Amino acid sequence: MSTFTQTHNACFRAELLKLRRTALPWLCIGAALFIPLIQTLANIFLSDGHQENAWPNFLQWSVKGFTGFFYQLFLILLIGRIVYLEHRYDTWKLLETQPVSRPALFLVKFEVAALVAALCLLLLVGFSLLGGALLQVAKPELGFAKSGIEWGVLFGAVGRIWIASLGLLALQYYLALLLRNFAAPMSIGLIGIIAAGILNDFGLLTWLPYNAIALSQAAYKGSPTGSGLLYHEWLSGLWCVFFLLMAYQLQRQRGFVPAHLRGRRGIVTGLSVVLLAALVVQVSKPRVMGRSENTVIAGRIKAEQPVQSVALVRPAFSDTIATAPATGGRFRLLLPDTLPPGFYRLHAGAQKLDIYFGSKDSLSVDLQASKDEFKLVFGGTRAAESEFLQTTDSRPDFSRIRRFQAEALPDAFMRELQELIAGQEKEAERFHTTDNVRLAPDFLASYRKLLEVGALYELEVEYPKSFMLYHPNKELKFGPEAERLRRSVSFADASLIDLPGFLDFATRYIGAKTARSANRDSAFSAFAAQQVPSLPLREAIHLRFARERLARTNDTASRQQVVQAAFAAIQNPVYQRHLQGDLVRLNSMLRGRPAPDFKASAASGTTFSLENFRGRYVVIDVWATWCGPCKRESPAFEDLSERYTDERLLFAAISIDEDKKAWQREVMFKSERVLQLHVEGDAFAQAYGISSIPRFLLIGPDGRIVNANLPPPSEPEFLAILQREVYNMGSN
Amino acid sequence: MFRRHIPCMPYAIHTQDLSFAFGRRTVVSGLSLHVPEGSIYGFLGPNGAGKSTSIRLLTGMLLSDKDNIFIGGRSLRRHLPDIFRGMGTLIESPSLYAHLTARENLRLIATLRGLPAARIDEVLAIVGLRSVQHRKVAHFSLGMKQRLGIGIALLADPALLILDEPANGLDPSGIIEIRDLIRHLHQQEGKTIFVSSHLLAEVEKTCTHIGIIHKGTLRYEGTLEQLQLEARQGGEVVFTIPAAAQHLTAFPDDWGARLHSADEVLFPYTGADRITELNQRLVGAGVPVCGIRMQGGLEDWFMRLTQKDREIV
Repeated sequence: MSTFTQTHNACFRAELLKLRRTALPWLCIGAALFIPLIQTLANIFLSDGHQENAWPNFLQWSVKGFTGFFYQLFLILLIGRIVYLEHRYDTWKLLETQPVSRPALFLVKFEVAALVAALCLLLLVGFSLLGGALLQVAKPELGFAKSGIEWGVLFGAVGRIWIASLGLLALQYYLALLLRNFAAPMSIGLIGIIAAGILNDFGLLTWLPYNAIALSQAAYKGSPTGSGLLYHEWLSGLWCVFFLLMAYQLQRQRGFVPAHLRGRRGIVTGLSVVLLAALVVQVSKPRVMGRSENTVIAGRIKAEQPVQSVALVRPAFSDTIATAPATGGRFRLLLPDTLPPGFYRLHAGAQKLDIYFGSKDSLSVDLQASKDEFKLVFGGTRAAESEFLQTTDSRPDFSRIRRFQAEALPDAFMRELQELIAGQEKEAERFHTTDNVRLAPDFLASYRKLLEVGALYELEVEYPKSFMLYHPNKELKFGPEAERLRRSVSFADASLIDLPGFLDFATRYIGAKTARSANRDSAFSAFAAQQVPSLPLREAIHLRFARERLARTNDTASRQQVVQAAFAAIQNPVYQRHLQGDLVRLNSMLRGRPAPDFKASAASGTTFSLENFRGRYVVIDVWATWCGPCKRESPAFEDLSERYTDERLLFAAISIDEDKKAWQREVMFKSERVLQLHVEGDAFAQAYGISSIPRFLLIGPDGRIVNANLPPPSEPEFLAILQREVYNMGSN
Repeated sequence: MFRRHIPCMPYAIHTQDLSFAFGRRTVVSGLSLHVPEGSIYGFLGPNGAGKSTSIRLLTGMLLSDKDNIFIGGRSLRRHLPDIFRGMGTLIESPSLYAHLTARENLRLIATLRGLPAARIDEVLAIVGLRSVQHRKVAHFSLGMKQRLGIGIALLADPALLILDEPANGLDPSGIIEIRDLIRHLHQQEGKTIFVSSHLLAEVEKTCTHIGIIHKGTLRYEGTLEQLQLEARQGGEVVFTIPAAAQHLTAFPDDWGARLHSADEVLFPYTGADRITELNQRLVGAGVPVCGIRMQGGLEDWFMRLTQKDREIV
């Protein structure tokens, strides 16, 4: 070992000397320059206009652009060239008869390769900074000056990418020593990178050393929970150690057979491979999180509008389970350990997050929502599940099958449906976070149920419609597969209430079954009583049905009837309160009811409330900048305001935009005749029962509702109502 | 620690019963070399005799299973890679970095060995490459490459040089250059030189000691003089005598005469004096001697030595 330390530095210097007069230094510079140069030129000639986060984005694109493919290519060229330098004129025998340590001779080649790789990445960073600086000076309109460089993110990414490249370098070193020429290891490397990339897209063999860089590159910002190296970077280190040991044996024993197969070395190699395989499986296998000591959700919410409180809500009817104050955005929701695991929703101001949670779970939420960026990081035992629910639609979309398989016969339709379920399920099974945490088995079971419910909706509610249309003379009969699917969702299982999509399915299913009955309401009740053995489930289905019915009912008396009928089937006081609440809210929007008060602010900063409008009719356009139909209606609204605004009638537009800046931008170019107002939060929309916009309201001079749902102003009926109500002119 | 027998004779290279096999194929067997310090030791053998394998063993590029190679009295096995401090090697074709200049090649090895830059100039002068030191090795002739190879071997001023076929593939002037260089190194620099070759003439012209290897075993080892003597001991004197058969009966039995062809008679060689004596007596007896020549010099002896085995096999 002492020879190693004594001669290592000399070997290293000699190794560097050898690179003189080779193309490697130029290749290194050229490779590092390529992407930043293209990026800079593209920004100069092709891009104009302000960019958000110009600096971080520019750097990220540079690093990601280079490390997507070119960097790997550079690495296999680099190590291949360094080894081929010795193969070409068999200078191994020159080196091996020098009084220097063989391990040192062997190792310095890898070290030089790793050093050049690091230099190349640093050059890349340097060139990118240069390009960015050039853009900042030459094209100030791009907004580079307005954003800062995230040094930690940049060097974190570059450092992790470098570590991820060690495994690839060691593997290519091994191949170059084994094959003893230039072209073969190069070709294998190239094919390896491309093949591994394709396989990785299918979630296969992601542990291959050829993949590590791409995975690190994809996780540019690193571990969201700040746990340092990611699993594939550890894996890269593992590959690196393994291939270096194997390559050293190969070099010492001169040949694959004596190094790996013969005698004692055969056994050692065999054991190493087994050990490696075990470690690779251990490191790359996604983890399942354990349990937490107590049941708690905590975190930080940073939004433009400070969040006052955070609530955990059951998704079915938005029943609040627990609320916690958010001081300075920080909150801590301590929940009972009896909380059943399932789908919940977290309400924090305007943000609503779907999560999966239960007893003895912990979840940390770090949410930053500003106009520039939306950053959401989960931690804790349910981080993977919650992240999955953000990236995937928690209501699987099977509508595709409705479009493409409408004419299919039942068995073919069922097969297609099953394939869809299997595909989505596989995706969930394969899902893992950047920290390599996969979805817990209980979640996967719930998710499967969710998929089955979605499939059942297609099978029971949608498909029969198509079948009747395309095969009018046939009888709809499904095979045993469909029966199995039906049995997998049991109406006896009360826990299904909060499964996203279930209540929708159940009400539509029963509704479809009873659609042609003489008395649909009683048929629905009868069917539910017969088919749904679980009382809580039945009540929930009834509540859902009754609420839909209520929303469609226009007069107070009929509404009362609906509620009374529903109460016969709903004993749960919480559900009864929901229905009562609906009734009160709907009735409150009736003509003559006092309009709910609200606070709104004008662009100048002046605040308005209902009181300010006393003595005048006020017609209100409720809208938001992101709403397309609103923007189509508002010119008509403004046209009318030009003609009809007077001491009796005021035109007001109330924006419910979460992003106030977006509203402020738009409002400058709106008619001055219309009083432009903005409301914060969703109190206004709730008070007025606004579930969709645009919505047009007319409030009388006495502060009472005249009409809570006017037709759109582009229709003549709108003006007719205004004239009739305000000027007592008959509609002609 | 248990000390094995270490030979106390001042041998630059000494091997004891050295054997090596590639798998089941034995390439070197029972090789015991004794290379005295201060000698030029010619390691002679036809192609495929096991020369290169032996040299690879001597230079530690192949590892012998046993501890039976000693360089300057020190075990090779136990002093790797330190043993290379006193040893310069040139193995087969010169292994050089063709993309670098002669000087850079030397600098590289000087860096590895931690030698001062001044030594590079000395070596360039010795091997006569001073004027082309900044030329890329890729543009060198084979002879220049071979000399640079020897230069690299010389760099650390080692007591022992191991040169594997240094004249291989060179043109006659190149061969002479290398031969002169070896002599120079031996006489002026006082090096012990172990040089392998498959050409007897080459070895005969430069070496002081000779070892002959064939089919992996050492067939002969000794000084050049001993060898020449011994080779002649087994040789014969050929007298050219027209119509020799007529005269054969006139020779006494103890002369050991034997008819070689119609005009030639063979006598066993027992020394230079014997030839004079025979000639005088034959001429005295009126036998017309038209010519005298030696048959079976070193060359023939070497050929016979290696031929015999070929017939057996």
